[in-house]
Amino acid sequence: MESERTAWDQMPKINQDLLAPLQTTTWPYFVLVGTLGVIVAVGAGAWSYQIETGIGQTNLHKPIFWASYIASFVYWIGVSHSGTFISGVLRLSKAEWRRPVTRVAELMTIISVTIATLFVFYHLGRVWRWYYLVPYPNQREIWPNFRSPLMWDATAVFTYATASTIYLYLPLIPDLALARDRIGGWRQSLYSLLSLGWRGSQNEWRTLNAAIRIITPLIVMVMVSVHSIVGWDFGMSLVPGWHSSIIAPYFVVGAVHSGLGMVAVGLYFIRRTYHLEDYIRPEHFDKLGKLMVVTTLSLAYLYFADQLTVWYGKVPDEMAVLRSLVTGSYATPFLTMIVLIYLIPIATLTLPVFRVWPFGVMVVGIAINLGMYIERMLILIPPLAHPRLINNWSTYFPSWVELTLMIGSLALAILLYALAVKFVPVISIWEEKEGRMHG
Amino acid sequence: MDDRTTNVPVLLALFRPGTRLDAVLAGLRAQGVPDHATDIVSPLPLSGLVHGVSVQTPLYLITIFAGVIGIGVGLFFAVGTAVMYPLMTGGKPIVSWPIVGIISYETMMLLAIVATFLVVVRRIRRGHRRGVGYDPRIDDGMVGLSIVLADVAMRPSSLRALLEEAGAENIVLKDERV
Repeated sequence: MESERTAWDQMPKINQDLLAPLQTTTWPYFVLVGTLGVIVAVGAGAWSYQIETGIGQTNLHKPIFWASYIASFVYWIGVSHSGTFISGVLRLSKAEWRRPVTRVAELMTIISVTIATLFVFYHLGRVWRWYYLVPYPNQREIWPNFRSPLMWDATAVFTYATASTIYLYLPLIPDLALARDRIGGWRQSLYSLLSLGWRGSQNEWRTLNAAIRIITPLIVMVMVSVHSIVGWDFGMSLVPGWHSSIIAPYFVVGAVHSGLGMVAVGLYFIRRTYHLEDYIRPEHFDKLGKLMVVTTLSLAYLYFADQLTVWYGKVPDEMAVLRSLVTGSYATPFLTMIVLIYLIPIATLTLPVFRVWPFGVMVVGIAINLGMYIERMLILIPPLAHPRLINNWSTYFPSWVELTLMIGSLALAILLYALAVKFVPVISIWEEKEGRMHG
Repeated sequence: MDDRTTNVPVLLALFRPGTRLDAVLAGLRAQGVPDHATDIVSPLPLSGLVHGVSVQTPLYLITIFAGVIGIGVGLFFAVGTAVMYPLMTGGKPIVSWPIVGIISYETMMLLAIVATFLVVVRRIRRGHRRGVGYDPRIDDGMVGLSIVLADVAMRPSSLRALLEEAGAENIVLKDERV
């Protein structure tokens, strides 16, 4: 009872602390936004150049028709799993520690899905024909061929993007209402519109909680299906190194692995920039670290099981890919990946004292994400570079256009996040209050 | 769309948290204030308080119904379009049932989630039609009891006295636009 009273008394401070990032802006923020804006503009220029002069500006060539753009798409879809996993699974399991973490992760989901979708458009040779993916009978009276895994992808990513936006928005309504009453200027009318006239009546709370309870398990199921389908883009083909029944769960676990790493990075910078040490505490990094240990071990198990089967079978086409990774031309990135996504997390995050060190967990998060980017590249390129006919073997390195677009897109993701932080409370205010009520 | 608005006079009593609101509501009920005239407004969902439960179709039924329609949409895309415009590729069947399952699963989820969301938006917006009092102090840790005066036979001064007696810290008369 005493703790409940304390929680009620803390509410003005919670409101003030968590709305502060929306109300105060310092000059380094403008420098950051300006710098990111320039990098994004350079990326946009590179894309315009590619559209103008053709997809030949990339280093895509026979037999490597999928490379950095598709690897980046897979990577960003993976990062998008952060929000759904953290928010959805932890909400389902009623884990109290999720409260300050969910919004940070949900924002990451929306932004990552957006960036992932952009990579599909970069990859389209004639991007102005993108609407061929929309299900309607086109001029040749042919609907999109739903038997193609790429159409499964389009359907799944559209579902995921829509559902994630709804999942971010619903718990945001009470916080938007709070911002509506406390923040003036041009944002007030936008908050008024988006908060739907929220008052906080018990009927509203009941409706909102019922909706969150219903949508949470659904979005977790969508999350699993989306990355399974992305995995099946590869698994359904007969390319050596891709045609594996384990690829879907491997992709899902890998996605959660990189997503958790990215959440650790986001949490660290949000906590440090806006002095939210009272809300995002070392215990949150500890819990994230434990989850990352689980995903590291699960991913390592799946990868080992997959490669062991290939090695024991000794099918020549499959072995060519495996050899290129372990001892061939891709050995350096392969070993770097092993160190970044398996060895570093295991060596550090299994130590309890390390897990409560926010900076350390953030660095491991960056290592995991670098490693996962390399891993996505290695899933795509070595198998395509070693087709069954040896005289078709080839190599690949991204062109300057591809590299510029990859960097520009990363800058766009950070820019969108920086802008979002100025518009929505980065920690769910009402859920934080509710958490304190429950002690 | 009817966008005409009208002002509804509402009495909003602010209570300290911990006040036995169910007892206050019981007192109001005894004085002839109907349940539908009152609303409790709080900065977070209050557990254990069953008040103002309106009779509505359960949300999960809407989700299930929309999901079933979503399966139909998936069937249309994966079976209907394939049959209407058959496209032979590599000797594969025109209608492939595992793929029908995948597409229908996604469209089922999409429609279920979107329909649930649209109903929630509608319910939140419709909830204000009767007039619910609101004060920014509620978000700072007060609990509000909102009473629509038009639905109450009692005189506002008597109502005010009753609320003060029940422990209301502040009582304000508001014109809520509905």
